[in-house]
Amino acid sequence: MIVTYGPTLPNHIVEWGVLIVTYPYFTGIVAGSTVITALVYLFGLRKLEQLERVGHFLAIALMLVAPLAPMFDLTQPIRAFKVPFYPNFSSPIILFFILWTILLLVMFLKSYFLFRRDFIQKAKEGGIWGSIAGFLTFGARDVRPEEDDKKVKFWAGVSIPVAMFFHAYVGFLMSAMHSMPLWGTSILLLVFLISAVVSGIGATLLLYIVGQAILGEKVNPQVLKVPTLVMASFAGFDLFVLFIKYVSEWYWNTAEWPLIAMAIKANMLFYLVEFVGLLFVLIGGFTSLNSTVRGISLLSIVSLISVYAARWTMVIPAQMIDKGHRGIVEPHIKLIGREGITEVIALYFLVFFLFFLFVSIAGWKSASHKEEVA
Amino acid sequence: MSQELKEKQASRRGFIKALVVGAAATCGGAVLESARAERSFPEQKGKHRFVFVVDVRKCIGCDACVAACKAERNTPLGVFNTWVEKWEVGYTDPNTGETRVKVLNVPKLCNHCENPPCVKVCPVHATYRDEGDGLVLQRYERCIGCRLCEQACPYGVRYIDPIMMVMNKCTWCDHRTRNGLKPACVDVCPTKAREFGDLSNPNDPIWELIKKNSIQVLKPEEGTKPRVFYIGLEGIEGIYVGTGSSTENQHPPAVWTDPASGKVYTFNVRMQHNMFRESR
Repeated sequence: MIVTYGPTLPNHIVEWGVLIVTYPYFTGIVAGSTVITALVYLFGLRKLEQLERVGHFLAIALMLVAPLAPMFDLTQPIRAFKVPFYPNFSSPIILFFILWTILLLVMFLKSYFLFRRDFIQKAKEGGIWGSIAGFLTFGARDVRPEEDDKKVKFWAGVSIPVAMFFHAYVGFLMSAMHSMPLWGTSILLLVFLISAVVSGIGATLLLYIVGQAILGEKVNPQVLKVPTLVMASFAGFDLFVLFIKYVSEWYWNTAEWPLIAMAIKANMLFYLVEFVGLLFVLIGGFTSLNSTVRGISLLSIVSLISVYAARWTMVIPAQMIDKGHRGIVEPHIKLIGREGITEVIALYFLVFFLFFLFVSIAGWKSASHKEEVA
Repeated sequence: MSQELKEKQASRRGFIKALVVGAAATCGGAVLESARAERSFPEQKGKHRFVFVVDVRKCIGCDACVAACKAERNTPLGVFNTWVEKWEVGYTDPNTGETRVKVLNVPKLCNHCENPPCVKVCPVHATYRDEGDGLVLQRYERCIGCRLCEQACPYGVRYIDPIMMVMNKCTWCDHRTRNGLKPACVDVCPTKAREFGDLSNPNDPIWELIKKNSIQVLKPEEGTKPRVFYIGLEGIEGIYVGTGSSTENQHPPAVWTDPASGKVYTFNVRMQHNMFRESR
């Protein structure tokens, strides 16, 4: 049953649902985690190396799972493999294939040089993980930390803009739909990128803190202060850009504004979570919350929830507005089946499974850190 | 140099010359042949220039076209290739200056745009524009179902076929029109509110209809260059029912070049853009 408010065109439904909400959420975390990479390798904050390592594990896991979200969303998922065979280069979807392939290659090259030392050490230990690690050294078993570090720096530097472009592509795709109010504006690209930084840093911080707690290791909140401050600043920047977007939509008072207002009202809960959450991260990030582990965890959780709400408000309300500009259509979110919530939950499980797999192969801590402790 | 050697060299030179000339002739012939093939390809296909005209003044809203389309294309329940909208519009009477209300029945269908955004965004060329007759059609076996075309189409004519699970749309009954028949919806229209014609034929009655009347298109500001021409939407633009601001949306005239004669026709196209609110 399709619920509508006001007259709508007969074919109109909300086509893209929770899976397309999840896709930019995943790619946003990939792009956001590269900000920590930038802090470590470009700004020389070497204290954050362990945090960056966790972010890198997460980024690769998300990179591998992210394409499954739009693929499951297709009505003919098996035919997704037709795209490289009959490419239409004027379609934004081709950009996804190009950027995803480049980013995956760059990520793997960075991983190789980042984890080579760990693989060599693990290979010596033997066992199943040892033999997998031994294979992943690709036969180069000589330890050259300085040379490897230079290469990691280079590929990390390359990965930052590529990851940003990869995420910005979603914003580009939506802003290209200029017949749709709320989407057809280029500020959307900026909104996507900035909120990505907030969620990327939030996810990395939270995973790092939880991981350290499971392993019984101490977390020094002073070390995490810089990324927390960056996250808070970007939350403020995001609020600013969102404020500009919605205020100008309201002020222009185009023919579509009454419908935009209707769509916003229908999704008010998500808008509230987004704005209040980002405001909390902005204010909390500059108070004493940033100097305790609990405070940083709380800020990270709030940032993740508010950015998920932000993804919802980017994807869903615009599609609710009818093409005839006379009414809105309610989204139809299912629990089970195609485009169901269970598919999204399965994707999250897959991300965590891959994350633990990578941690098991390469190790939570780097070999150099272990040597220092020894 | 001995005579024998000279003769030998001459014969070798001759052989190489013959070889080069032969190779050049073969290659040149092949190039010419391929060029001819390329040139003849669109010429052979480009024999039609279809256009659809909807006279809103004549439409009585009987929905016979909708039923005929459903039967002809076997369209599943809940989705439509064509439909008839009922608009309640306010307008200013040019004679008395009074504000009045009238009801219009506005048939909608795929506009088979000259600059179709759905074709631009399709990642696998499943939606394509036939350069021959300008029809925007769908390769069902290739469609991956990403629905980007549906998001890009400003007219809301595309839908996912619930049985085939691929994108589907109005084809202007290409299986009929390419064989000299009219689309099913045009055939059944009792008041001739829907007309279909071929602009490549100078004697087609559609020319009269276009030349005599003022033509409007839907959402010209999208730059899609639609090919469904509306008659009778003039004089009601700029009147906003329900939401305030009224605008004088005078647009530059649309230009149509007849490919057969090269003659340029100018139509007075005015904006008809989302200023109507429907009461159904």
